[in-house]
Amino acid sequence: MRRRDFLKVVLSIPLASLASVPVIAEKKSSFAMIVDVKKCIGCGKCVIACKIENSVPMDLPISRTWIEGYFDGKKIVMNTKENPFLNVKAEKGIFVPKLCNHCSNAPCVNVCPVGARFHTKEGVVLVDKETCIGCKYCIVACPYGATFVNPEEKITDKCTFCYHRVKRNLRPACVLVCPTGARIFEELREGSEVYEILKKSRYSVLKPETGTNPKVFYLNLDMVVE
Amino acid sequence: MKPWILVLILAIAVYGGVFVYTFNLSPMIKEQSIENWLQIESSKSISYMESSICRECHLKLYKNWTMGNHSSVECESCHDYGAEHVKFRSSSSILVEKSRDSCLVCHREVTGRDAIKSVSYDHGSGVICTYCHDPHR
Repeated sequence: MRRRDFLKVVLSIPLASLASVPVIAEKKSSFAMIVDVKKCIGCGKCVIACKIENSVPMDLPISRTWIEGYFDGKKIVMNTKENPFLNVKAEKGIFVPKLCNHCSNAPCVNVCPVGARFHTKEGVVLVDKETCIGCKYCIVACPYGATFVNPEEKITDKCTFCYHRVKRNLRPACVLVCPTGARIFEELREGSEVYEILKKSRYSVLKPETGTNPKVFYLNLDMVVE
Repeated sequence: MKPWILVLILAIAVYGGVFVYTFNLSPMIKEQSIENWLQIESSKSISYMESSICRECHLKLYKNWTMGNHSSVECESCHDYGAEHVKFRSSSSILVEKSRDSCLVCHREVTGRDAIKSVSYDHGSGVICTYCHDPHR
């Protein structure tokens, strides 16, 4: 074999293998959460329950779900056991519970260099903690600030919609403990409660201009929150 | 054979090997790691049970609770997580908090808290709430 033929054969092997890269599976149905801002009382039970259920350190000043209180335009965040809303003096205040929005077009999934973030077939965005290398690209990419570094594991962590509970037909911990029912969680398909509510009432999503298609919908949110 | 040919073959072998591994054989592209992680994630233990499990033992309280004002509030919302209590079934493994602060977590007057009935911090000061109000009714 001449050198030219040899090189042709060798260099064409990688090109041929490119054609067989598998396509990521399509999503079918998806879970969705509705947060009624008017019903939230800022008690912080969801924050505590989330930390216990997912064993995030209680003293860590960041959480998988957190509550933002807006008092006359001033923002106060609750993400530990202590409730900072108790002694606020203001005329008007609203509480906005926040969590990972599980976007259909998720920036964190797009930027992850090792493919550690992925969509499950239920539309939940998960972090594969064995593949994650802790480069923190996703923290920069997320427009909602829902991703953080877990200091014990040294890799990124975020809300999973309580995937381990949902798989056992239980509600997520934050939905379960909410005393006023401000959070509703269900599969987004025709006939479900979430679907009916979204059909009837006016809802909004956070930062629609980023084009992420979130699956967390907010009711009665009458102001633009950061 | 000239030495540069050997170097070239070695370089091509390394390049081809890395290429084939990255795009065809690595666990990431085969989604093996994803399937593994899905199993790990869904087999994690749960801490919060549902209120229907509480019914198995505390039937009388459960019936009171379903007819009372707090029927929309799940048991573990006040009593904290019940996984240990389900296992040990002792009174020390579940939270029974009768202090004022426990009620005032939700019922204290705070700016923006309009969805439920709230009282000022001085309401019936010094008296434990459960003397007058039964939380299960």
